[in-house]
Amino acid sequence: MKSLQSIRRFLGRIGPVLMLALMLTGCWDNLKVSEAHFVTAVGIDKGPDGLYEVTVEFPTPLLAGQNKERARGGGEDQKSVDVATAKGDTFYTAGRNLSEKMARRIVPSKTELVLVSEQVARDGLLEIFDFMERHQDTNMVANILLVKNATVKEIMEAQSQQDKIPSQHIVKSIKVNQDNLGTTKEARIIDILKDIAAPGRDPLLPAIEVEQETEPLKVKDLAITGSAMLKDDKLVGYLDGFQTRSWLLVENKGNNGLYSIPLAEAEGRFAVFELLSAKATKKVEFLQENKPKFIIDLKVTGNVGESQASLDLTEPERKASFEAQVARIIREEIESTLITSQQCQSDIFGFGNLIHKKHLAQWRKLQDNWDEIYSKAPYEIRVDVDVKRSGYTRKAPELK
Amino acid sequence: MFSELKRKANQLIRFYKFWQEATPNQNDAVRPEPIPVNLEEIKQKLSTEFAGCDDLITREIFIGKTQKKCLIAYIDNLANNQILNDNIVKPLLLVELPEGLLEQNDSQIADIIMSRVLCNSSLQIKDNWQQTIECLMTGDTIIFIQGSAKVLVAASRGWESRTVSEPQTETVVRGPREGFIEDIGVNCALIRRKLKNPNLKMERMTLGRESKTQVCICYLQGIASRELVQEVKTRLSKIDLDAVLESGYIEEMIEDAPFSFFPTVGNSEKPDVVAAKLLEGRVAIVCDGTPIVLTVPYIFLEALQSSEDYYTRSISSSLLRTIRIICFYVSILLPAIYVALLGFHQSVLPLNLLLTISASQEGIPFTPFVEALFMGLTFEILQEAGIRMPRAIGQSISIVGALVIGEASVRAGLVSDPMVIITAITAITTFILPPLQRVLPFFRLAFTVIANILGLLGVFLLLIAVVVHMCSLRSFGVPYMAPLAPLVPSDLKDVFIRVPHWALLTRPRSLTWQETGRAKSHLAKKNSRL
Repeated sequence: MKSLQSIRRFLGRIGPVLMLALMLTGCWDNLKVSEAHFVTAVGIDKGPDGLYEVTVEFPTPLLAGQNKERARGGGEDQKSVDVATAKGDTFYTAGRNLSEKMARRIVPSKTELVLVSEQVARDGLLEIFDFMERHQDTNMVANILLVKNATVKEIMEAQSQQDKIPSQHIVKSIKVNQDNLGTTKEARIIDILKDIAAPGRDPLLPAIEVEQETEPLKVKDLAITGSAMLKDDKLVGYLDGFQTRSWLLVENKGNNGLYSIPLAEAEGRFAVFELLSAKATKKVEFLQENKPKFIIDLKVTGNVGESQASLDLTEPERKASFEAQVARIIREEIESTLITSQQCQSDIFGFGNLIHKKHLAQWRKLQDNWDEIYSKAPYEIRVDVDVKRSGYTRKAPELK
Repeated sequence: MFSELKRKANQLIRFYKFWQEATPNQNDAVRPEPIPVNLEEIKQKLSTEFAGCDDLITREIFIGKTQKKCLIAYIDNLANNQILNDNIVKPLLLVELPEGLLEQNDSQIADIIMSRVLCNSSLQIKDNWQQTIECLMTGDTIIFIQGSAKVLVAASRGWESRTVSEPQTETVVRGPREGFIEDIGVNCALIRRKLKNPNLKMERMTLGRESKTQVCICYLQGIASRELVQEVKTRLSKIDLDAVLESGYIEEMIEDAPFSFFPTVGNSEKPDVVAAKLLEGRVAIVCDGTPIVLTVPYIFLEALQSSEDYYTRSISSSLLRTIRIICFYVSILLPAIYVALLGFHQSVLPLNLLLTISASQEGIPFTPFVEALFMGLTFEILQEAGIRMPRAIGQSISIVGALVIGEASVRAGLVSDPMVIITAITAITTFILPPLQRVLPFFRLAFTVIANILGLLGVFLLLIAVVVHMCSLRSFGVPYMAPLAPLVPSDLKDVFIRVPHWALLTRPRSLTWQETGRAKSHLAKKNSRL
């Protein structure tokens, strides 16, 4: 009871002081939304002068929101987003230099897309990520894309009729592509950072390119396909859409995609194998000391989605041969991916990481010249295909 | 400045404690005054005491055909004329008693008249002047008899009162429609009709030096704990007021936490609600002159309960109760969270929502905080006006309130659309919790202010403080947050969900702290286990 009283007395003395402290704190974080530009996309480029060029896309709030009634007063030709660019020695200073042109404060916390140019990726992404990690305002789960054959600014200025915010169009189409086609891979900044930090693993960045030059450029004329291989944090080479698809299969990150299989029954006609599910396992075997062998085991099930000629899978032999054919095509795709990555010495499959986890002692010996070892390592790819269903008909329709 | 405030607060608290501990002074009771034997003397006394009271009516008549005189006194319109004429005046005038009966027995004359003459079913003999006057003031008719020190008090109360009708508050879709009225006798009868059991005790007492208000303490013997009943009696007997015009006077005098925002005394306008609370072991205090009956102890969860929960099927009532709990939080937190999110935590909002809200903020000259204050104040003004205004001009209030203030302020660009929506939602949720309706705006304001200073951190700090405060409250010895804090697992079946009546076997232990079952089978089981 006495202690309770003393506590009460203590609180009685310190309480008012604490109350005053409450009045003093806070408020510096307070931000009026009508005094902020919420950046939706950031583009990072490097000019020929070696300066960073930062482009930001932000919605003009009056139009990007749903407030149609008031938006009507604004005039029809106003765009729903605006794009601004500034230069600087570093990413941070360039970003800060944007303030010269802005009516409002730039708030990057809602950034959902980060575009980096080839040049920036070649010079290394880590200096950008360093800024992002240091600042609490950045969105570490934003999608990151590499711009392949254009300047970042061009892509940022592309317009969209499918979404009010062009960058949202890009973000959404990455997802749609990965779910339906599987020729690109969704990558968040934090994923890339993890890959860079992991021993024996190199990141893969999705890439965007201009497919068709139009004036003005539209987002639908861009192609989000293929990916860029990094070594550590530097760009070393590209994978095309099919190779990206194989990478996703091996990494168990996507089980979508259509495979066109040439039919033996009719010259120049195809059946479509539609992938339903896939399970891949990676292993590393040591043929001898310091000589690892990579093994990829893949089990694929799918069905026949389309057949341009009669394909009778009710016959067991034909089914087996068809499955073998599909398996061969998938294997060849994976093989080409692996060879490409070996040529670039970019361990995108994380075999080194696998050794690090399973055979740490070996890894210690290998890690110093892992790039060399990786590029020359033998491999084995086993693909097992099961055609579960032959589609909705037993046999393809035939002319009679 | 703080020490000044502290001293003032201490003074208040000391006064409150003093008042709480003060015991009623029995010695103050006035010494009983005998009734004069002579009618002239009585008349003299009445005319001095009731000087200026023209509603006192006296009439002197001879009893039967004898020479004995008596004096009838009553208050005009408090006593029922019909009863007066048929049961008192007529028998007294026309009675034929055996010769000499009255003249010979001066000392027993009152008894003789009571047993042989008057037709009233309720008659009392009194020999105390003060008590007699009290009876007179409540509508009884007093019969003074020449030569007798005893008077007859004939019950003749009968005045105009409202009929039992559906109460304006606590409306239900399913359930009894009757509500209490302003007459304590009728109110007690209404409760008695729900619980036809001699265990339902109704102890009457009088409060208020001037008003002499009748108060009735109702409880179920064997269910309400004895200490609780004793505590209620003690607290009521300590009340020292000149008048008790409404049960609110009593509530303020007996509540545990007079400085808390939360009420610790419950009230209801419906007999079925009061009966249910009596059955849970509570004590009801019926006060004459008001349809509002107090119930103690009062715990927080009662604010979230409705009588209809028990009349509709348990699944639907459980769902509605969950909604009420959500409404409580929405009501106090929504504007605060909106202010905090817009002021500090914009990145928490999904992009599209953020853009929509920020678009609505364009061109609004005020911060969300000022908007919230403005709209909250507007709503409180409208609500108060809605209660106070005469019914006939209700139309104009709704037009001015809803159209002019809501629609026009948005069109004029003074208030953003989301803020109007939020104010509307908070306003509606407030009405779902009638017992807390008057306290929720204070919490809403406090939360909004701290949200503007510290963001969500502040909101949660204050929420913790409020919860701590609620847990520290007690109502007549029962923890305010029972059965949640302290946790009484067996009582949880009537908190967030209401289990079906066939599973609601025990009475709330947190109220009675003793094992009494609702179902007979359950009692038997308990007993056999013992």
